[in-house]
Amino acid sequence: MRDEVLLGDEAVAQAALDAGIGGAFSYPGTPATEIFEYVEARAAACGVSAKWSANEKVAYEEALGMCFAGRRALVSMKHVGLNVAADPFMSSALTGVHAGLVLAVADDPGMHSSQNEQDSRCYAEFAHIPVLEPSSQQECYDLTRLAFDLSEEMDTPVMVRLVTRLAHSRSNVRVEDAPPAPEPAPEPRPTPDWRDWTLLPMNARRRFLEVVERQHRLLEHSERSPFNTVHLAGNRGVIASGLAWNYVSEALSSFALESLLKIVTYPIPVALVRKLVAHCDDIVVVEEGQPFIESRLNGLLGLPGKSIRGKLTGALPRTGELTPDLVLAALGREAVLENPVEQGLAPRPPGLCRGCPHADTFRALAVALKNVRKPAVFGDIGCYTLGALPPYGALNTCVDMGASIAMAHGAVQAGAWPVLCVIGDSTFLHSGMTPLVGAARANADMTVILVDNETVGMTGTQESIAGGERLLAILRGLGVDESHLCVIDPLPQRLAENAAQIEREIQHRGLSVIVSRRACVQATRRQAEQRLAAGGACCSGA
Amino acid sequence: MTRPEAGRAAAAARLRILIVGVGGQGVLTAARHLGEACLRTGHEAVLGQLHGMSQRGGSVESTVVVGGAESSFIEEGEADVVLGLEPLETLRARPRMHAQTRVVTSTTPVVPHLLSQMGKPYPPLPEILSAIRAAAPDLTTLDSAAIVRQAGARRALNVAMLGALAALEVLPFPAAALWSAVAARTPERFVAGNRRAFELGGAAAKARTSPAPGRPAC
Repeated sequence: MRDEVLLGDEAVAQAALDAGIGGAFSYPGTPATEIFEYVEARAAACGVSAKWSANEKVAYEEALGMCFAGRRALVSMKHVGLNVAADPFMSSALTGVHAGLVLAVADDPGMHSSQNEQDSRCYAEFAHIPVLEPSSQQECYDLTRLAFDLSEEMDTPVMVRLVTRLAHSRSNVRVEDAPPAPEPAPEPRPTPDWRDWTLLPMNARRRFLEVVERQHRLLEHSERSPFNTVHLAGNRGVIASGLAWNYVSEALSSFALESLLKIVTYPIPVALVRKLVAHCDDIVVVEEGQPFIESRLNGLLGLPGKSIRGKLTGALPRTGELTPDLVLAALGREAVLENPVEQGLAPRPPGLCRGCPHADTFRALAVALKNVRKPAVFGDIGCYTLGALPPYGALNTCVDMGASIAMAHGAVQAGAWPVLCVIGDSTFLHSGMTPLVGAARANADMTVILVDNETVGMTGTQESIAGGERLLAILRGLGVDESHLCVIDPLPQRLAENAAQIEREIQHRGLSVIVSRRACVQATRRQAEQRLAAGGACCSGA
Repeated sequence: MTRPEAGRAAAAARLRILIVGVGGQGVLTAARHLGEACLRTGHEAVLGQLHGMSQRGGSVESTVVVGGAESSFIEEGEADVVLGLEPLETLRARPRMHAQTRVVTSTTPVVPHLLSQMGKPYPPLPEILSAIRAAAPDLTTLDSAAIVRQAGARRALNVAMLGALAALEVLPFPAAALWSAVAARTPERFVAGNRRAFELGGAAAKARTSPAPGRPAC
């Protein structure tokens, strides 16, 4: 055993390595990115596979395929990534796993860097799969180890659910010593029964029945789990899960008379809940995300004679992230502010970097549109979403990965003109190619500006799977007309010619794709530093 | 801020350090150096970091809670130490200070994009400092730009500030322990520059700290 200071994300990754995975699969997304990156950095030394996938659906399917072939797999993503992966996720409960499959999802309550704050526990219940919800970095490690065993024991994928402040905080974690040498990959297990994995209706009906029948075994496991703890004391009871447990236990010294239930495993351990509810009349439920436990405890009609308080009653805010002070207040203690929140300080919102090529693209776009009264410009997800803010004010929408192209095509069909969209290279490869096939087939009267900086900038300059000439080849292959496929170089000195090019393509009554191509300044700097660190020749003298 | 009595367990045994600055200044790295020093000296620590979109020139903060805490949160009135890598960001952290908070701040401004775009000036430094001092009189200021210039290490601002923090003797380990943690986590070719920045930061902090609360403005 050894101690390491690890992020919650890293503790999950280390546990997966120690559990003997054959590979990790992911698409970058805050706050889950570091799970995959930790494995990636150790992939060669540990003899595991770690390649970024095109999107979360692909990542999930690759992981499922690895399990089919008999090796354990870790797939990680942010909460909204699971929407993209929802199709294979839901059906993988029916196929079963053959070898352990763990899905680590990092939710983002408070939306620090996300477009919503959906709670992945709802998804797991929807799919009938178990969830393990750690409250500390050590539990991130221990529960991920357990998740692989549970996955194989129950023949189901298992979700490990994190939230931003757990994923992105560090603490001491006791981990197992690495095996002395990377073992040669074991012989793949024989392939599973094809009838379990081929979800034709006749097979799927049988498998779904098995999934439903598995639920009571999962509940038994949850009720027996030593990670859930119940402590009976006073008439007031607190039920807490995940990170919220920390806030409750920090408040404990003055509330030691409370009865307590810590929930770590799902399905919700009903026997323990029953024990606490039988003992207490006043129950406070503290959980990060949706009022998941609280609403199930209430049912439709509530519990006669019991007061159940939490997010549904306003004891805790219905939206946003929990804080220790909010939890203190819900438990009846109000903190008093002495130094009021600063008013009138110049805010420092995130902005595009100095020298960012996106800024030059937006400036050219503004010139091209200066005489247009009501352009519809659909935005997408990446650093360039910041183009919606001043001083650019260039975008009208940001919904989900790849939505810009499909929404633009929809607007064209409503008769809007001119219609443009702005999408990055990695987002395009993630979810923009499929809608472009349809727009190209219809020769829709719209202009796609594909900002190609050859990296995934927002999440820390991970490698994009195709940029430059390869990206152009993909565009041609999708059916984009060569005569309206052009490349511009977003530089300040080219502002006028770039704006003119955009204007020409807007005037073209059909589909145009303008690739605005220049490398991300952050990625360029990072690459130069890596070259220098590697001791390679550096001609720039930087 | 008035905390409920024993509101958060054994708070007295803990040291809550809040590090604030602007994306790219090395806020998260500074926290990791402190975390490494805690690990090496046998102190339990929980580190929090908030980033994502804030990497792009936005406000960034990191927390280091030493001494058996459950969470890395530092709430209003809870910071025992504030290490500010940028003066406006230090002021922004004022609600988290209490009357005994020890504040160490850089006096080198990073002008917010919004101000420069609107052609508005950065707030006068003396006003920023006196507003901080009104909440937390124990304030140490550092001309970090001059220090990193003198050290010949442009990107060692965070390490210079750590040197200053170590010189104040508020940490549960000596400056040498923090330096060896920094050195262990620094690529070889930056070690010498970081060392100069760490030492210059420490010397400057010692020179500027006076025991009496009513010391002259810096």
